[in-house]
Amino acid sequence: MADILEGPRVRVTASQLAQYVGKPVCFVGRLEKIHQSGKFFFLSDGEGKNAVIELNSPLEEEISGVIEVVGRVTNQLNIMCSSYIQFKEDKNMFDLSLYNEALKIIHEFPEYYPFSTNV
Amino acid sequence: MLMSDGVNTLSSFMLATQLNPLVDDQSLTAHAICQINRFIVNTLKDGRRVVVLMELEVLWPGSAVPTKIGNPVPYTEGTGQVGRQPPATGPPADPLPSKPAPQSGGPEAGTLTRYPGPSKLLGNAGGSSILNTPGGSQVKVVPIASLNPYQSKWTICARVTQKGQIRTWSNSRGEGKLFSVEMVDESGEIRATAFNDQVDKFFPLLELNKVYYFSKGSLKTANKQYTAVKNDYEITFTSETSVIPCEDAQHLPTVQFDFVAIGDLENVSKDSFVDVIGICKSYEDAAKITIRSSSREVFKRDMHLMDMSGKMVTVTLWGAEAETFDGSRQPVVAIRGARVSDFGGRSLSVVSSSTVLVNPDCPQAFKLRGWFDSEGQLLESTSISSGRGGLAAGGSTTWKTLHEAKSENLGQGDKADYFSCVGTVVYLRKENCMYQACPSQDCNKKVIDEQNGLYRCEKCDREFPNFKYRMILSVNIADFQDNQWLTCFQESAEAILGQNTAYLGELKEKNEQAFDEILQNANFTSHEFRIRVKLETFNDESRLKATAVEVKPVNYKEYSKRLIMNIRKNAARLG
Repeated sequence: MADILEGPRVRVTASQLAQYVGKPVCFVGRLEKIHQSGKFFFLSDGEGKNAVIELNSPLEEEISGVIEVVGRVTNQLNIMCSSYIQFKEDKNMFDLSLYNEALKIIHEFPEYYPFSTNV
Repeated sequence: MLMSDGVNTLSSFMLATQLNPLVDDQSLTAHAICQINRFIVNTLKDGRRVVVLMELEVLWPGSAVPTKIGNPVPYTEGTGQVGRQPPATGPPADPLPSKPAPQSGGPEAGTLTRYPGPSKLLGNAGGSSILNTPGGSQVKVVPIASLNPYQSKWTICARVTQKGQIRTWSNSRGEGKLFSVEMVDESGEIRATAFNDQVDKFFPLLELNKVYYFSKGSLKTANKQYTAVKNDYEITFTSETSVIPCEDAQHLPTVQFDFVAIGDLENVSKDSFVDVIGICKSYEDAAKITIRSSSREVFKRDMHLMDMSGKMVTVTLWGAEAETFDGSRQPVVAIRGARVSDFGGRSLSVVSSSTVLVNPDCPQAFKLRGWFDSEGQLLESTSISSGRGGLAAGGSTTWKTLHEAKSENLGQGDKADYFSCVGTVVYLRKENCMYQACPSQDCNKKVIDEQNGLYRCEKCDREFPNFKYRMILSVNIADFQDNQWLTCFQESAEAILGQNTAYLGELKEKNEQAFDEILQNANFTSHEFRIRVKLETFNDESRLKATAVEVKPVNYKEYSKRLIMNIRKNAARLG
């Protein structure tokens, strides 16, 4: 799984996951729910759509807020998590809808953002 | 006005405002014989009665009547005969100039001039209607045009045509808040203002375009400086004022909008007032800004309205309206009396006399909603307001790249130009970045080291045993296109270095290595720079001098919004 972190991974929204099955992606969303098994959690993106994040082993810490996940998209359109990081929001709130606007741009103009989309 | 029916005279007559033209055009003059068709009698607090004339017809002009008819005596209530001096002073502030004192003719002239009869009858005389309020009590409703300062108990039935924002004031006598409304009925219009407690009471209750019964309140002479409402008086709501919604008042004139299409705003001249309607396609966060003139802090929020012309305009909301506005569900927003500004292309500002209606109940709004939901939302709109950062500089921030600033020849004119940019420090010149300045407050003049432990300030003409350090740091900043040398004085240098000057001065003297490190660490940091550029001439040599007026941390949220907007704009241009 560590190999994923070595190459580029495209930033996507929940609705784009279907286009990247089997590919490494980067997903940013706000934590909605943690499955009681601790092996899944749900993040909602800037459009309010949810993505399911799968973990190899149950969570060992409390997580909350906006989280960035790197992982591979499964056939079920879940993201198999390789690593995640919580965004600190103590000073500034992370603006997910603004992030979503930026995502739109990198996908709309792939000629200017080649590493963001050609994986 | 003094009137006579040939038998009695009464001095407390007043013309209603709408009859004022009769005096202005000289058709109502002294000795004129008049027929009074409608009137209202009001009892003042001290028991005096004032007759307000609502409708009056001049049968004989004053010039055709040679003199007073008959030998009338002042009317005394009850007898109608026995002469008694009427209140000598009369109304203290007659709305009319005092010259017309028409005396109507006696009975033989066939006029219908009535004098007030016994008080029981008075209510019927004025042609006023009796209406039941929801409370069940019977109220006499009078026309707006009949209101004057000499009445205390009145009820009007009027439609709110304009509702201002709550404004606050603070001065030596204390602070408070107020808001104003404008209202109409068939007879005319009037403005009303509520203060403090009445603001809390009435502001949430009153809605634009709704009809209410307004009872009691004090009337005072209108200050025409602040209003265009055609009425000599205005109402001040008091603790006695009551406001009751009126459901069945279709007969009253409604607020008429004269909507200008957003695409046509470019042809409207600056500072004029327009009505617009559009979908709130997006909106910015409310930002707290300080008004430079009064150093007052207010909220400001930009929203972007789009209409069927496919054009979008930026509208700036202020104060409470900016704070509370919610555009999250892309509502239809209608604005009455927004001020057109040429700031950043064309934009609109909601001023205190403007009214903002969210999802108004009017056909244009329904049409727009339908259009937007079906096709409009898919349309890429083009903004007639050019990009500007919603940053806390009173909205006057013009963002430019360093290349733009150069290619637009900023600073080459007679006056200094200002612009803002996000830039990264690529070099700091250590040499002469500080100087020894006069230690007295407000004097930053360089002192001369007299080499005897004293420092001399030429400006203050004094010698001091000490000095203070001041920064004058030359910095080279770059953005993705270009770079620029900047002079940074005290505060802006401190913002870049992240240390205060006194500490830096000490460090420079005692630990130069640590000082160098601070300078090193400032390399490749990014900031928002507000830059002043001006062509300055020394010894016949002209150089463009750029100074950092303000250096702030980058507001990444606003910065990315600007970048996204610029990308979208450029993409639209390339098609």
